[in-house]
Amino acid sequence: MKHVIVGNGPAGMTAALTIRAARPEDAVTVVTADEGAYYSKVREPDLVAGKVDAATLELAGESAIRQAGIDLMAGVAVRFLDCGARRLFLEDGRELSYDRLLLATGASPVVPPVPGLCPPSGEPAPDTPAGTRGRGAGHPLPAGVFALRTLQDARRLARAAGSARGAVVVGGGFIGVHVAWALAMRGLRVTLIEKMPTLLPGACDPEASALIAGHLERSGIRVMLNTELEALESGGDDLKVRAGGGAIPCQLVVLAVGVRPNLALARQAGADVGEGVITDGTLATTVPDLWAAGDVAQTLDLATGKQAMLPLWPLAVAQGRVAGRNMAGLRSYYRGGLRVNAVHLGPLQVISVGDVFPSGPSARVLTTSGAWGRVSAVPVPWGRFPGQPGAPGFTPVYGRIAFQDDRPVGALLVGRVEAAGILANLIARAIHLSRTDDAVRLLRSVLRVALPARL
Amino acid sequence: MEIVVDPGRCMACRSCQVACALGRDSASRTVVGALEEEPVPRPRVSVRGSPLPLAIPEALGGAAGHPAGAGFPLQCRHCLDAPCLDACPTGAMHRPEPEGAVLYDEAKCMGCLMCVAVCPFGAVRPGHGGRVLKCDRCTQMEYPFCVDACPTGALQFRERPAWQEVAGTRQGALVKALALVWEGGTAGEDAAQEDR
Repeated sequence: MKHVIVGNGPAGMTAALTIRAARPEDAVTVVTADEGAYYSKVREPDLVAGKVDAATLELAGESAIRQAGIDLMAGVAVRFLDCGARRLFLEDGRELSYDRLLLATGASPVVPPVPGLCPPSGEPAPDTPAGTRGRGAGHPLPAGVFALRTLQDARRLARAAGSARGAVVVGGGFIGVHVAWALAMRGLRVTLIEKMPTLLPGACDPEASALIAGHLERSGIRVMLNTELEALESGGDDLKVRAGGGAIPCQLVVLAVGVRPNLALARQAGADVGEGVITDGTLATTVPDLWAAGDVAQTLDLATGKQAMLPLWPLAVAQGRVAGRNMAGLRSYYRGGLRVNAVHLGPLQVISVGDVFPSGPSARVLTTSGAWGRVSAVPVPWGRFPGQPGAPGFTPVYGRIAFQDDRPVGALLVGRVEAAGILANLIARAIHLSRTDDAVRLLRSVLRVALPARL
Repeated sequence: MEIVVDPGRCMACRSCQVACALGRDSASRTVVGALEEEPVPRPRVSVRGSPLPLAIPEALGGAAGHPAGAGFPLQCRHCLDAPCLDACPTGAMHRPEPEGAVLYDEAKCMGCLMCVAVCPFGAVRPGHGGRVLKCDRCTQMEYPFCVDACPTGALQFRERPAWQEVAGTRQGALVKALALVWEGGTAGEDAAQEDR
């Protein structure tokens, strides 16, 4: 049997390796527009910061992939998918036939539709036909403007950061915060703008956001919340970012306002598409012999019980394994995943899992400072007394657990994060806590803080 | 060989924690020296429970709902379906031998904390300098420090018990628990007490 996988990200490569392990007699081909083999996109900020070289990002080299019996076709985009004839037409004129196909085409950074970034018509960039070729095929970004996705993006950004003095990062999500941090590490004057009132919107509440923002500010990064990108002007060598009524001069702009799934191939295939490719419990699409996994797929969010886009590395690996097993003819089910966000900047650690902002009449939120009462959390010292706020080595501790009825659905931990995984599993397994006291106990024991018996 | 826990024998003395922190995370390897070290050496095993006949009040950091005098040493379980292996985006978490220990390569770690966020046991903890701390069964040594330090045999280093053996003990516990429910009183509890 011939398996073709489009995309060399964690979902695609995990699926390829799973199929090879389960059925060594089957042929597996991975097609990707991306250069290189299997590498870590998550670690790209370290490359931008100049902390590591590109070789460190590699998870499996081309020779290792070939050794695993996978035929890797890198640097070539898919032009057209004909599901009826089970054929893929590649950009360079080659054709591939398949028995089973996995769409692991991932997502591309969103380009905000503002003057200076998009064509004057104001139309946002359309889905690129190539699927995996991603952003830029239709409307290349102006000089000095970058988005971080592929290894090539990271290399370009690292090169540009070498000569720039000031940078603006648009978007205060996970990628934005890390890129801003990386650029600041290189000595650039960095401004981070976010249109929402908090950093990591959706994952952080105002308290946690303030702690992260304070830490960034102390590290020399200017954080502007409630600030929307209005326009981009380029004059001479410098760029001018118009945002929040003012203008910020810089040499470098990084767009980190989110990602959009690369759905072109799924649409050509005639698969049902919502926000992403709609999948069932085996990650099969609505088209026979066509599976989808990773950032392109719409899957079950265990916290909300609804289908959602969860573009996260751990889930992509898990989905790749399930899709691979099903493609190899084994029966395997994907039970869903949780949204996980983590920020680790120097001494500051923040982990957010699940749905931190539940809605509805049964939603309740327990925090170490608010909602069910207001108390200040005193960190129990680990080994040594941590001192007063502001003293070196002091880590603030803050926690928030969100409930639907008596079931925890989300958690946000700042300062003491080691129990995040335990909470994540309570959430994923839908464990009910019988009494309010249990919830307070839970928060107290995961944060190891002294709280009164009742909040 | 694996670190196996016999929870009935643990009295929460925390000798394993001290031995682990000194043996694996300290330059001086002495308790007095470790107190002066910066950063403070940290263990890769943590003990839940209280060594005293009294439970430590929760307000003082004691574990909630844990009976006095009963403990459980917790370090990486080296899960066969380890979620940290899936979650690691840099290849720092790896398992060199099939069904062997899950090891951690500090050079490859970027400190993204994904492993911390998925570990169902809370056994992967943030460490010093943007890295994580995790038990590696003292692979480079003959014997793990924690097992050496355990005075009661609650921690043992031996071949993985056959699943039948594990299932047998669990079944025993289940039978006792069921007895407790069915007899609606103390009979089952007494049995459990006698057993201990």
